[in-house]
Amino acid sequence: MQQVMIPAISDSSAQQIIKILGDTNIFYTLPQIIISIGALVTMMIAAISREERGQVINYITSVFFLFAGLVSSVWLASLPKGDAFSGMVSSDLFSGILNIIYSGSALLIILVAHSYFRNRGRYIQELFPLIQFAVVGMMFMTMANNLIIVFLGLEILSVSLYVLAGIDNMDTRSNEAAVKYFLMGAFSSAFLLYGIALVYGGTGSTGLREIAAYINNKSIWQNIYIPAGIILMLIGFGFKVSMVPFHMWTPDVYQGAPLMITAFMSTAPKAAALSAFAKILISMNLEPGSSIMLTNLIGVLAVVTMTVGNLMALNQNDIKRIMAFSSIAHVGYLLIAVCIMNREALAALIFYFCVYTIMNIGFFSLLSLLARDEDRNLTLEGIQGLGKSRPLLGLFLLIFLFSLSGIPPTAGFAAKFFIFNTAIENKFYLLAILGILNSAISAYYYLRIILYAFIREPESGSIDQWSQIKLNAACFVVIFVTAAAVLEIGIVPGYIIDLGKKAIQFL
Amino acid sequence: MNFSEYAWLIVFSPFIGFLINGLVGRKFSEKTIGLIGSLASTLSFVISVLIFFQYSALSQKAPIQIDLFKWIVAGGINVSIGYQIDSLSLVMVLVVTGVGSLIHFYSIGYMHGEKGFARYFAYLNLFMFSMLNLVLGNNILLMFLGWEGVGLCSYLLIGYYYETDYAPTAGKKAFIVNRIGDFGFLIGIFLIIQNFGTLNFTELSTVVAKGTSVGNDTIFWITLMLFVGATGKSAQIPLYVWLPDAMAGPTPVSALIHAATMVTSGVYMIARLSFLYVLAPETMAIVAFVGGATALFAATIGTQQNDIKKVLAYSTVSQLGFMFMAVGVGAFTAGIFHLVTHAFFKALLFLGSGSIIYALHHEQDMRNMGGLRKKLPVTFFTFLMGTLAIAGTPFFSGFFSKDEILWKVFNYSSLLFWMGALAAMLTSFYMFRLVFMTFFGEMRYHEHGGHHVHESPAVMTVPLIILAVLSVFGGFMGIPHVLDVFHVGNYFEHFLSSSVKDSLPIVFGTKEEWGTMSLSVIIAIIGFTIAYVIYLKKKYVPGDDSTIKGYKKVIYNKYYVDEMYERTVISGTIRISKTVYEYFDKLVIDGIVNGVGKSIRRIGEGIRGTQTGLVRDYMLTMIIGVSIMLVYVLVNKFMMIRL
Amino acid sequence: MFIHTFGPVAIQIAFAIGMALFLLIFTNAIGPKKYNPVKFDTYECGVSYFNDARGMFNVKFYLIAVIFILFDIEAVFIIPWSVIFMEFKKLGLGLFILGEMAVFLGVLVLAYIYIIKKGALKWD
Repeated sequence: MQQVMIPAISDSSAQQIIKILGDTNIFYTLPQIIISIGALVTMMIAAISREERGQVINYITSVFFLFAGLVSSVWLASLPKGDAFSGMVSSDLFSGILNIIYSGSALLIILVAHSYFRNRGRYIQELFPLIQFAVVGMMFMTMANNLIIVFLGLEILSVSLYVLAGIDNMDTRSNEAAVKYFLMGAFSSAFLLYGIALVYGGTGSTGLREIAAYINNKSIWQNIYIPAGIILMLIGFGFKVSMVPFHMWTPDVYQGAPLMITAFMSTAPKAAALSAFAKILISMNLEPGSSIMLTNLIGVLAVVTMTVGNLMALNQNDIKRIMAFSSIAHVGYLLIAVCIMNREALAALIFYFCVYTIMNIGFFSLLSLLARDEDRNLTLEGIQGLGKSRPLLGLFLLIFLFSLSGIPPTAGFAAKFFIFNTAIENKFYLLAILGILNSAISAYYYLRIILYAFIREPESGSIDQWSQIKLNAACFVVIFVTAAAVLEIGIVPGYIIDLGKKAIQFL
Repeated sequence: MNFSEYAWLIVFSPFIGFLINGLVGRKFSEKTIGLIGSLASTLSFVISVLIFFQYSALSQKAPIQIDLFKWIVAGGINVSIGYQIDSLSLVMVLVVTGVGSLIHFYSIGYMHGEKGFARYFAYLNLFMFSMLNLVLGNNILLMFLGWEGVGLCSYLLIGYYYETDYAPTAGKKAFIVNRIGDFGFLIGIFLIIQNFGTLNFTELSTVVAKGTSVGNDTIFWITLMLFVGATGKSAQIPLYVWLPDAMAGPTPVSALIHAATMVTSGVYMIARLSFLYVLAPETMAIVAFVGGATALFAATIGTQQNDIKKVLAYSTVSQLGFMFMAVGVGAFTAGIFHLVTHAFFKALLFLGSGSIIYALHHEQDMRNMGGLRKKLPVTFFTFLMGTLAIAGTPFFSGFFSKDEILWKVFNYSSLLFWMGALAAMLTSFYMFRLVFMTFFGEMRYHEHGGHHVHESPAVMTVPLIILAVLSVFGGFMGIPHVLDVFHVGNYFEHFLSSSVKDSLPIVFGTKEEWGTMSLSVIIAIIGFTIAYVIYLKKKYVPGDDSTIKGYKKVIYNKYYVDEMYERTVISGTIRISKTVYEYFDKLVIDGIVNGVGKSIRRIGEGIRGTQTGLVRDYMLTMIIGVSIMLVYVLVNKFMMIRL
Repeated sequence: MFIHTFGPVAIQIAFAIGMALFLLIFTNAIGPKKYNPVKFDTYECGVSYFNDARGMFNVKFYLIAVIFILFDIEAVFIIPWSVIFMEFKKLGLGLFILGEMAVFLGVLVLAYIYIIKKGALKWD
């Protein structure tokens, strides 16, 4: 019997295997592993048990795993920088902070979403694994050192979000939102992939470090593929963060998706997409001179994005739709930081992510309490009389809206101040002025909500409706913690800014 | 015992009052609420008086710094929550807490029985907290924090009677106009950070004193932008329009916020940053002439108003113009001095008018008043003292401060002086017009339903009396040199000199000083006489709004400035946003993309069009965007090659 | 230079197009034309059609097709693994790489259990 021929292993090949295994450093992806296990476990629970008990078990399990992911993210953030999987992903303070944002925001969302979906009467347990998968995708996006990994993470995230948008499968609007989001998301992913392909064609690698080494000290114009590729990647990411003119899906999807899913979609994924793009730009080591084209383009997009977002929000009546346009406007401010494209601006970006995530989740959690009648979206008229009959809820509303419009002493002010200040320090005067003007415009529609909640005389009977709202513990804790954080960061923002500055040293 | 260590208590005492009244206030009785609010403010006053005595005894009056904690440490800037005690901030704190406390007590009587008593006092305390942050803060950012805070409280308090139609609108107007000013202020702050790298007043002045490399152009823009902020907050041309409307708030609020304290913060800001302003003579000239123009312009409007509070409001705008004129010519001490005396007599006048309004059950139209002298003796007497003070009667407080301003301005520009003098004459005229129409002549108010007009309770009259005493004698702390027969010296100027020094060279001598002084007295008498002849001798009472004609109609309608803003700025903004909505949202999305004549109807709630149609259209928009961006790359590429 | 390298290709293309056009036009011109209903049928010979091609399928077809593709692609991953398996074994890492595949398949099995529990493979 003839023995199967095994090709002889050369020494170099053996060494390569050992080297690769030695470079794996799998513990640097500990948060992803923990949350992936959590996702699988909760998926199994969702498949096996459907009753109310299963819901509670699933809820507790996912809170446990997300919390473990959060803790391990904090632990990893405290470790020195390190590579995993032969440099395909790397862990440092930058990715650590963003991982904390992702897992933390998912945790907060789940805490509120449990009671939200339960009150609606339609409880889909797949919510939990999907959110956790999304978190894993986002973590890979940020930690990635390779465009392929970025794309992989983005797809894990996007597919989860498509399903999440349509999680309420009996609601036609939710279904519509999901289909729209999926079709357009697939479309935009193609652009991203094409961009990656062009950059690969132009530089001969998909690894960020190799690309940086290739571009280093040379113009990006050495061939047209590199700038074109970057632009196409900008489009792919721009879609995810709803940058104008790729924002069209935002109002429809935000309005159609269930409230807490909208809250999730509008915070962490935007941070993931923008931070991934910023990381790509920064690590490409673009010389300031060679990227004037890019700076101008992103600057114009920033201004257009915030202006369109703010102006469209002015005439809206549906609060969810206002928030959709408001999130577009906030992306505009964030793009200012991307436009400046240096490390200091990245620190401002991280700070803005933190603040925006906290205040947006807080505000949406509050809305989830206020949205009593589930077939109807919350309109401006719908919140009349809130301030009078539930002053505590009114106070929270006030805090979050002040923060969103950037009035001191809230975190929103500190975040905007930091971004505009960075812009001015880097001599982007026009951007700063237009940004400030825009935030003045935005104050109008945020204050309009306050006006309706406090000043307008409520319709008769709506006071009774307000008194029917039951505060449930988890939701209240989330609102309270976020509101306190908004004020705390607003008054003492220094240490988070310091953290952000430290984070970008490692990149 | 070093009282200045307790300076933080000045700021936080009203805040604690705000927390108590704001959170649990509605459970208390009116008396408890009022006492908590007033005592919180009084405590601040007591501490500041103690600090004042200790500080004024010092021979070396260096600013005392109290840093509480680091606030923002980022980039080149290092901002802490910290307070600075020097002579300028002490003067401001004494005015704010002193007048503020009196108004708190007065409010207990005035607001008796109003809905939301606790809310009112909570807002009032929050205002005190913000205002004290503004004047005590040792850096511009903290000042800006207070600046925004007082704006917010002003907005909330103007809209206090939210059931009415006009109050919320007035609040919104005040807020929006102030936001426009704040925009300038913020730019100023950013420019300072960028050029000087610090926001701390002391550090900033050290940097400036050492001689800086920052160009004059930059300093011009910094100071001008900050002044834009001041025109918003302190109601100067062109952003003064909100102040008269702000009278929709309760009268004590008008006295505290819109006369004595908040509106003067622009003057304080310029005095605080005087070391920067003196480096920009162009800005100073702009400040001075804007101030002079405002003083004259507002005074003319004041002569034709029939609402008692509107008269006082335009008077405030005009007097603020005087202060800006003073700081603009470099007479910072005179400006602050007038700020102080104005706080006394204008608070008095507003509270007096509040007492009248209270007695007449919210009647504010002077055409329906008259003959109240007998019915409201205390109010009448104190009001008369205030009027004499503001009109510039010799040896009343307003005489000293206004005369000093006019004298200093005379050294700067005679045109500005004549503008000021004319405004002073008009001031005397409209104030006596107010007094004659209100207190003299026949009673035109119809008592009905068993309501009798009677004097206000003691909790309201006692603050009036205290303020009247201050209005009469308050001027003696700043006696001009020519009148200083006993050689006691100008105490005010001396005290303030440790933090603010005048930059104006005095070119004229004693003779001219006597001249301007006697001229201002003559002017006051002329104003008084005209008012006397028209309103007391001829017993003239303006007719209904419809009968007012000619130039009077133009003035009565405030030169139609509001209407002008309405037609241009406001409707312009609305039109732009509507246009964007109509054309961008409807045309770009629904129109261009959707093709020919296929208008998508709204199906269901806010979902436009059918699914497939929309996604196709969205994608088309995306494709257009992508194409533009890629063409942009190509264009860049070719431009590169050509270069 | 351009002509030199791409000339033959261009000639080839021109010849191909010309030939096709020539044949089409020529046969059309000289061929006899006799029409009958059978000639206009979708399929001139074979089964006659009975329905519109754009008919609807049961959605289960798609579901099962998608699931099939997913598992199919995952299975492809096993092939490179099996190719390098012996190399690892020689290095004494055989158990390790077996464990890796076990984890991978374990996750797949979990997904399979999920599909069955959710009733995605039930036809009715």
